[in-house]
This record gives sequence, structure tokens and C-alpha cells, in this order.
Amino acid sequence: MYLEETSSTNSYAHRIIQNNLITDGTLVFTDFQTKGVGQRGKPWQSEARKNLLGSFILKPRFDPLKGSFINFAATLGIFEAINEYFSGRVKIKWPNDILVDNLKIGGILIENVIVKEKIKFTVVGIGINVNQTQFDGLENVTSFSLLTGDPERREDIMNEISNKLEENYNSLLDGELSYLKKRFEQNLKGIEQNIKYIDKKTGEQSTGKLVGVSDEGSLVIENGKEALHFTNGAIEIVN
Amino acid sequence: MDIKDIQALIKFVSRVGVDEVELEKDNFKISIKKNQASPVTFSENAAPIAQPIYQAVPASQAPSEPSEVASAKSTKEDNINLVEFKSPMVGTFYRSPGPDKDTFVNVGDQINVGSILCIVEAMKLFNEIESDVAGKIVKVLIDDASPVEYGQPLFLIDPS
Repeated sequence: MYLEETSSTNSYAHRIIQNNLITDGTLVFTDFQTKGVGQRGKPWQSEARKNLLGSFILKPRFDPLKGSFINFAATLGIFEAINEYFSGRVKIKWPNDILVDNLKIGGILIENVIVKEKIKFTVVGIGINVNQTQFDGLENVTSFSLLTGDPERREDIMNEISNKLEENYNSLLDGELSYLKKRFEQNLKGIEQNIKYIDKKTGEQSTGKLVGVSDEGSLVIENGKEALHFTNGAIEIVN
Repeated sequence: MDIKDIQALIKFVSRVGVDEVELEKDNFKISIKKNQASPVTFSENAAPIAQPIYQAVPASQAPSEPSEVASAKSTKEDNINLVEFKSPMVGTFYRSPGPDKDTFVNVGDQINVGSILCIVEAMKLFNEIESDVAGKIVKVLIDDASPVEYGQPLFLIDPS
């Protein structure tokens, strides 16, 4: 489903779901968002007709307590698609940013609608920088054309993302949860390395080895004595 | 003790002007408490049974059954007819879609099945929580942007 312009593909997705017009796996994409949003309503700015902006609507009928596996599957799908272009240079920055050469190329915004302790549907909103080359006021970001020097066909990247997302979504529906988690961990930035992090509660900086993620999606860091689990609000990772 | 006895007891409590009475008898316990938030006032023409006290004895309960002891006990709470809407997951509770946005619901709002009540964020998954009951929001139990546990009550809803 293509829209020349919309307020945001995630909002559009929510509206058409309410009207029950939707089958599992519907993709809404647009050339321009007038009110693009990132997490917690942060504006997501993107020049018209330059980038990939879309929302996949999924109906996984999933237990919300396993919600982090939706994140593993969606993030892996986008990671693998981008890795087709920049093999070996792509990493996942926990919990769900995609980096190429340590620069952010894309963001994901996953919104679930939950009723009676079941996920009724999931909207996976993605924003991938493709042909935009100016990012005013933003640091550590990149785009396909900044990396390659050439404009890239957005349709090709979108097809790649659709395919990889579908593969990983099928793994999720087939219950291959540990397989998804393992691959998510393997491609995590800083995995099996010592990282520095700040505990946001105490303000203390510590060093520990990043060993993976828990089933709940927490980051697991070993400090020599024990494995500590951190939620995304609890720590800030220092490079 | 049957329903007439309970009504008589309520009349008695409201007449003597005490705030709370607990009575235990055989296999039965009842407590009657006045709603402090809306104090009962009396006038010449007022009905003898003040409205807040009705909450103490919902018509659907048959207090003579021994199995009703537990629920009769819970009448100490003012919210006997209210539904506790609980968090389906661990996460951070948000009352609005973004920091500068309007809240999804406020106290006094009428809500329907399918109304979005809040967001619980867990690991950057933004979970919009839909109501499975219709009614009125009576109380918001958690502050915006606070952590919530699985099963923790978030809202009190009057389903009537």
C-alpha cells in the first residue's frame, strides 16, 4: 500500500487496523511523513522522496510477555537486509538500532496493541536513510548514498527488507525463539567484549563483558562475579 | 443474618454517625465504612440510607452464603463495584503517546471496549493497552512514566 504523503505510516496503520481492512503482513509505505515519530513521540525527520519509511502490520497473536522476540525478529530482518549491501559492516545496537560502520542508518519503532493479555496486532515502523545526504543537527548518522556515493533504488531495499522480515517473522510464528535470540546476540555491537556503561540510578560507571540478551530483552553484562540484567532505561552504554 | 438485617444495620450506622462498623457473627463477617471522600450529609427529607453506603452491600451478593464471607470482608474497600485494570507486563507506564501529547484517558472519562488506556513500554516496545471493559475511569493508580509490574493495577474502572 503506497501513500504519496501521510502524517506517519504507523498512525495510518493504526487507523486501517481499526477498520479491520488488514491481513497479516500488510505493508504501508510512503514518500513523505508530515508527522513522523520515533520513540515516545520524538520527531523523525526525513526529506521527501529520499528515504524508506514504512510500517509492517503483523498479527502474531503472541503473549506480550514474549514481546521482546518480536523485536529480535523485526530487528534481525532489517539487519539482514542491510547486511546484503554492506556485508560485515552492519551491527545491531541494542535494543533496536541498525548501525553501518558504527553510524546509525535506520531506526525501528515497534508498537503493539494489547487486549486481554494478548497482542492483537503489531506495527513495525521503519525508517531507513537511503538517499538523504544532509542531516542537520544529527550526529553519528549515515545513509546508503553517503556510504556508497551513489543513489540507491529504494524499491530494491524495501523488497529486501520485506523478504528478510518475512523470513524472520515466520521463524517467530514457528516458535524458533532461541534461534532468533542467538542470531540477534551474534550481531550485537560489543558482544563478547568489555563495554563501559553508566548505571542511570547511581550514576556510577562500570566495565563488564557484554554476553547477550535475556528472554525479556534485557542486556546481560558479566562483571566478573555475576551476570547483571539491565533494561533499556537502566543503563547508558559509553562507547 | 439476611438482607433485612444488613439494611437495618446500615440504617443504624448512618443514624448514629459513626464512620466504620465491623461485625463478626458465626461464620459471617461484615464491615461497613462510609466513603470519606464524599461525606454523607443528612437533612429532614434525605433518604435514610445514604448513597455511598449502598456500595457496601451490592445487590448481587447473597451474604447468607458462607462462601460470601471473603467478598463481604472486602466491603471495607470503597471500590467493591469497580474493576481493577491490570498491567499485562513489566515495563514503564505512560499515560500519553508522547511527552507533550494529551493523556489517553482522565478520571471521569467514559471508555468503551477497545479504548486505549495507556502505553506500557518494555525494551522499546511500545505496547498500547486496550480496555476490555466499558465504563468510567474512577482512578488512575500509577504516576506517568513510573515502572509497573506484571499484574499491577493501573486504573479503577466503574463498569456500570
